[in-house]
Amino acid sequence: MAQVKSYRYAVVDVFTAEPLAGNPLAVFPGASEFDETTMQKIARELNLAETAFVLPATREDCVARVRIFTPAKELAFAGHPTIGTAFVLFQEETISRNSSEFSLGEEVGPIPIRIEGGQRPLIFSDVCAGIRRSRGSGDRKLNRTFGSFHDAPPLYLESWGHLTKLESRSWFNSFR
Amino acid sequence: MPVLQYVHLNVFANQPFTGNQLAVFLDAEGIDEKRMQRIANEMAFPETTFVFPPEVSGTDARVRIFTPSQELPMAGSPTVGTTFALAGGGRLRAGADKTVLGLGIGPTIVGLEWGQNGLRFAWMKQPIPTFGPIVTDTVAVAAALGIQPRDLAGGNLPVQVVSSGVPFLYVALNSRAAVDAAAVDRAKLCALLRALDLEELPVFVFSPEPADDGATVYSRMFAPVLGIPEDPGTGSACGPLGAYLLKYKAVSAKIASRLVSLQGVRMGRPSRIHIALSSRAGVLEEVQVGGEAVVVGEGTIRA
Repeated sequence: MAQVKSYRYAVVDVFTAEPLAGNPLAVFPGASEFDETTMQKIARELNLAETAFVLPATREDCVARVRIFTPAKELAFAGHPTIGTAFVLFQEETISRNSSEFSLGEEVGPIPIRIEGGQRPLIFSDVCAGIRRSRGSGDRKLNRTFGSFHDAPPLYLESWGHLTKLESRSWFNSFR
Repeated sequence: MPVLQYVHLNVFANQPFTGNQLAVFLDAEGIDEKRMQRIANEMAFPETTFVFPPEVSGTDARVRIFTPSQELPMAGSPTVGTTFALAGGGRLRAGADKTVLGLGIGPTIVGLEWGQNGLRFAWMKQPIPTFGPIVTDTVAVAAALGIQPRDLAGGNLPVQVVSSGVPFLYVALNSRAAVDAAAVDRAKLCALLRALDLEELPVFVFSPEPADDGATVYSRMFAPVLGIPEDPGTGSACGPLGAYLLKYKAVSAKIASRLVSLQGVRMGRPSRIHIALSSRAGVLEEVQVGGEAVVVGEGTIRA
């Protein structure tokens, strides 16, 4: 029998204060063992709009690196996965409960996050930073998607995220 | 807030990341219908099942099956997968040769085969399929599938509606390549069916072209009408598929006692669905659809 290992993930409903509403997102808080192919397979398996994988930070100005996959492909940047991942890291206390501002390192570059704490923390992400950077990086697809925000002022998304599956576990005994 | 446990399986498969994803809530008592639908939508798998105590004597459990958008009276992979979840949870007597599940269509017998590590194979007994209208406009069928009319097997293999509870439109193609090339044009499909006074149906395309994988047919299933662009493993379509292959003599009665439909390859989620037909004097007497399943995860919903 192959060694069976278990990987924990959370599913968080983003942009809602009510479970089973909003936009669900899967977040693997400790994904450093996964290669890209595995991340893509997991995202396809879970079949949510996006699945986010948290890796150790690769730059000093970020608290973590985050890679985001749809069931079909990796995204350099995306709004609801940024918010949802920040929420999970905050809930898990990977990010100190006292920190109110930090950045997540997505493929497009650092994405600034601001958290207003409290019973239901509100999370704001500087989406325009992501959009500006994707424009610069020549990710044409992203440019097209967000083209209408071309010269908009900084845009904030807000969320009362709700963890529906904090204790979810998955084990996969083969990734090939 | 209630805490609900589920098991996450891959059905018609023995490897993680293949086959059909399924979530099974083994203790669903107290979850109402509306909540089941919302949970199935949240899970985002082709199906999610909810297991309740038996409602009818002679059954071992009541099982309700939901896609992200609706409840189904029966379905193959959820039945096989739920059986594996029940076995894994110690809810079936090890070594028993069958269990009877109460589905929407009524009590359904599931044959069990056990191995050293527990349940090895589950066989769902399906109703004898009924044959519906034949679609003769093959040019329109090809257009609705984005392929050429010459890709259709034609001849003795008509385009036809067949059902074991959920009707599918069966389209036989000449080659596996043509099956891989198919892409449903929903508007054209609806127009084609409307001309025959039919509602929109899921489409099952397949080719008997052989390869070295042991499959009798290579297949794909498209169900935009159910909110499923493509399904990796459709058990409920396989009883009718077997009956179709037997009726039109694509397989002999002897071979029909054990057929394999290889589905979902194009999606990167290969599923092997086994079909066993028994007939006497040319009359189909029993249809069973079966396969393996593997548990790949578990979870807790707080909702």
